[in-house]
Amino acid sequence: MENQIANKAGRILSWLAFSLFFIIFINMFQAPRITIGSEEREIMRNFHIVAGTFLMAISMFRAYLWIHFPPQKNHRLLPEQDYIFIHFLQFVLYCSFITQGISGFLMAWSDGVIRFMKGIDTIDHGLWTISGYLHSAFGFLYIMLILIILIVRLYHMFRYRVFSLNVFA
Amino acid sequence: MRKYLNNTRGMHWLFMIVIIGIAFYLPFLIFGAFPYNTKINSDSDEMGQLLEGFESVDFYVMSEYLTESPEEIQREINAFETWEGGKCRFCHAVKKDDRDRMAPTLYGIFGRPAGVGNNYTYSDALINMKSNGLIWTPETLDAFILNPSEYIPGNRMRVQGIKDPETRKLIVNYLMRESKPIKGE
Repeated sequence: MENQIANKAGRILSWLAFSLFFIIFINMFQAPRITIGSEEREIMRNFHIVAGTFLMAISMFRAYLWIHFPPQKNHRLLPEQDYIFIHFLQFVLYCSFITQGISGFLMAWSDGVIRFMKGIDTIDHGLWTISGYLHSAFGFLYIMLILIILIVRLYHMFRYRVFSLNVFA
Repeated sequence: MRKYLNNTRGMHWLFMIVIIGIAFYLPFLIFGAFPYNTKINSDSDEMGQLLEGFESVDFYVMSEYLTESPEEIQREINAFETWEGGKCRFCHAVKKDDRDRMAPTLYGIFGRPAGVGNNYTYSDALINMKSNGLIWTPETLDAFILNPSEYIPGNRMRVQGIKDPETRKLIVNYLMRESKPIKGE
């Protein structure tokens, strides 16, 4: 019973993660093209922070469910190792969303965009540079992972006749 | 979960490490980003040596001859700040109070030796140009932004270059107007 609820929650969270990722992906392509300091850019950045925070929270919950209720193999035709590989990639994908969220938070915090207390200056260019680099690197990581998952899924489709293009599990 | 991870083959882990390695290299390769800053690149003694013979030259004197028409100023802003223009503002700070970005600040750029700005880790190519005595003037900057990878091979400004001479002129004029250092600094 518990497993069934976890599976259902996992599916809902996966779809939520996919939807949020899709929206952030569009935002990510458009926002850097808007002139720095303009009102439109500020709005896009604030949206990016809010949507990114939600994606990180959902990914944390999804990873928690994954650890406590690991997905069960239900494709008879798919070999064990192939099944484990695709789920390993998907689990790392959620981990990359979490690390992406943490580095994004540090980036915004060290740039003075997120403040918790009045009068406390959190601007630190050194931290901004490191966290910015990590944010970019994890961004490339999840783009590569998504592409690899899609390729592996297609391979499974042709090799084992197991049809699923679900990237987010 | 432990059983699940134990069943993951060594090849899977190796594959993942390679992917993560590539992901960490890509921001450097594509954007020329660097993961940390060098706080101070040149001390006052070195600056004195680099600027020998140039101390009395004020390149910003030329800013007095720039047109004050609002249309022209707006064209300069568009050339420097927008995506359709030179895209320079996306990576560079210009004024004294601007927050540092991922590229070195252009505040007081004219008359400054190459590779001396603080809070930025320069490429070896720029450091070599500093040793070779490159000073940023309207002419050298124009030549650099025309084709950065040809002018200073191995530098990390990953842009194709601005082929249109009019846009380059507007960018130089924008910098002449906006990056002028406050007297006494």
